[in-house]
Amino acid sequence: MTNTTLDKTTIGFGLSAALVSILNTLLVIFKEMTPPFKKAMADAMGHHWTTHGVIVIGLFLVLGFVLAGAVKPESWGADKLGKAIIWSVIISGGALAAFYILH
Amino acid sequence: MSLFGIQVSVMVHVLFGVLGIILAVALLVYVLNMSEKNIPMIRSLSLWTAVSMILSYVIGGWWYVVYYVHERDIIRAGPWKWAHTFFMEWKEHFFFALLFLSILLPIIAYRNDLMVPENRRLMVIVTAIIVLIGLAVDGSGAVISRGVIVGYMGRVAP
Repeated sequence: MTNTTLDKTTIGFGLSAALVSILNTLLVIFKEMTPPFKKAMADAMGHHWTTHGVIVIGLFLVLGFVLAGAVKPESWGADKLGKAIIWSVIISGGALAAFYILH
Repeated sequence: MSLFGIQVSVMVHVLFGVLGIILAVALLVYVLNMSEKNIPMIRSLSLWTAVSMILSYVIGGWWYVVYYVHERDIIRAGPWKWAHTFFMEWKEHFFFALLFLSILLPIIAYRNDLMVPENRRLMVIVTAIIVLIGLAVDGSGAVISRGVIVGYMGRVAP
């Protein structure tokens, strides 16, 4: 049975944290595999990591507010959100480690 | 900036990172011993954990972008080049997950009823992940520092 005890901002930013952690890893893999893209990121703000940070933090904030407005609280209980965050961290951290070991 | 200032700035970055981990551990203890009386302390600790992690990110990020390149070249020329190619690369990117969860922490603490067991479990999960990632990136930072030293050792004592 779904639990409705979380507020919408918590669900929005919790889901955003889970999603953007995965997108962060995908952006790392894409920029490392595409040197012209990495160079464009470096040219944009002086260092590729600065641009990377602006993109993912901006995405986290925008997605957090958008999801907070769009999500149905009854669809996301605290336990379900907790599981989504755990899996996101395992997948994004593990994939990032695997990528840099193999790269 | 002077060499002293550069070294102090990177130490301040580490200081705030470690402080964030300590605050998160304290928060975990309070959340595991939840009572109405502990809620103000839990909310305060969640906020200061986030502030500490954000300061660590801003100071460390500035140092990384402006000054790390010199240390990176020393590491990459030395026998521990993986201190950069794995540990720094992993740390500098995975830190964002830690940052997002640190920002999420006060949102959970201030906007929800923490006496509800499910909400308390979510708080425990997010706080525990912050501690684990914090320790992992802190350990990576230690490896990177040793990578610089090993790089210099190779230069003076082949």
